[in-house]
Amino acid sequence: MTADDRDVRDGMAADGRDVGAAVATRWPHVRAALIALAIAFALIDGLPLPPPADTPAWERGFVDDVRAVQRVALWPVAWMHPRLRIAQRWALYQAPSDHVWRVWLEARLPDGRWNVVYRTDGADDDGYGAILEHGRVRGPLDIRDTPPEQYALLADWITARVLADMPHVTAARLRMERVQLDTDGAHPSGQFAFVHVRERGVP
Amino acid sequence: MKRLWNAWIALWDRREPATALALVRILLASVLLIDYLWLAKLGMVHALYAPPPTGFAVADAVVWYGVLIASLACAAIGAATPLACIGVVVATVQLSAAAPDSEAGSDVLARIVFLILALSRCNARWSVDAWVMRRLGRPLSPDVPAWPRYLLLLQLVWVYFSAATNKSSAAWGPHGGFTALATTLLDPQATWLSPNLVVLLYPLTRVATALTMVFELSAPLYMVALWRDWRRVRIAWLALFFAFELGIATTMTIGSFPFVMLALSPVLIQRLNTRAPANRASSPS
Repeated sequence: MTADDRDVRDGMAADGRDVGAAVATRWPHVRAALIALAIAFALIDGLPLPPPADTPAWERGFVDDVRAVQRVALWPVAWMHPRLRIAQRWALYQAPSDHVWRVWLEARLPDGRWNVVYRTDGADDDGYGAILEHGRVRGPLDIRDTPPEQYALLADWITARVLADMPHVTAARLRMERVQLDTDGAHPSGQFAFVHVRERGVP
Repeated sequence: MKRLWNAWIALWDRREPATALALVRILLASVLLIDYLWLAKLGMVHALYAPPPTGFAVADAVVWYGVLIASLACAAIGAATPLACIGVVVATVQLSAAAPDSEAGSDVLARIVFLILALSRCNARWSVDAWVMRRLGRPLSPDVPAWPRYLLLLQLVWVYFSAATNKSSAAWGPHGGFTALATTLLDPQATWLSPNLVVLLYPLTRVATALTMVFELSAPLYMVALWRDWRRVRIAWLALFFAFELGIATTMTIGSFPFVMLALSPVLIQRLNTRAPANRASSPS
């Protein structure tokens, strides 16, 4: 260990200054610079650029250039998005759709009739609403144009649960009905999609 | 330029009472704790965070649910606070990876807030840490660096302003007749209100849509109002904030989002302090 090392260990720099005091004096400058950097990265990340698929043709040339510059500028902090799962673009209620989907969870009785176990804004005699309407469970059911990644997994799980809860039914089904929204109210269309059926005894 | 830089340094070097940061820690951790414990009450923890056939997650994160509950409890009471805050961030990252569709914007925001709280002295008040340090004869200073609260304030303001600038539907503006909120409230998955009631309240929803845009777009103005101490502007914007979040909380069924935002309100309410640091030689933070 050199004399300098010993001095630093003892809180004194080689020229006799107090290391703690020196750090404390410099720290506000370093912190202010780090905060300025963090704010700059956040603002660049949060630029309200339209997604590539939704960019109008006339904007594309300009927006694509900005997006490329944004990607380069964010390179030093690019690791944060996948590792910390944070971002600074807040698209809350970006574009409410004039059509939505409502959930139908059904069980097939031994005579072949389908019985509604749960429907959004409708039947819920068996208490599945408490599960399917929970904010965290509802995410996989929040269908826009295509179902979310976990929709098929949730459909598989909930239909298996219906079969386990109701030993007398022969099958369970989850499907989504398109509902049209306008100023007169919500109008169920009778059109179904994203149908998932689980037969008893079939893995 | 040098004057500007010195003013910037002085701004982030201010100190203030730890009240707002401590309240945010307690309120946010409590809101999330209730939200996640409710999942256990419903018997949904394994369903949400275990892969098939037990649940519908894309990876197994049940253990991380336990880590999150313990971390949130510690953060709420202020025990080993920085570690607890980091625990919340790490655990929610794992839960988010296992159940990506169960994540809401408020979860992303909570992660950012806990990262900042981990670097703050939010445990200087109403915490086990403060009590222990007092018993050890080394009490924590009640005056703490203000920069974490300023950053949280900026973050909140940015959330609203960014939300406004990212709204891509004409329904949020005059060209679409300010119909966005009515459409949102007609979605049977997003509200408990009956469609008939929404239709009856239709003119009111248009006013509320316009006020939502005013509130979100004027968020940066709130910063100026705080800076210049424009009392009326501050009160008006805060009134819009509480009306907006309480309106969402009472009419919509979208989980913990409005409660997370309300839990962050102490950072908005506490005024800016111009006090310089009391003791430059104290440990950096």
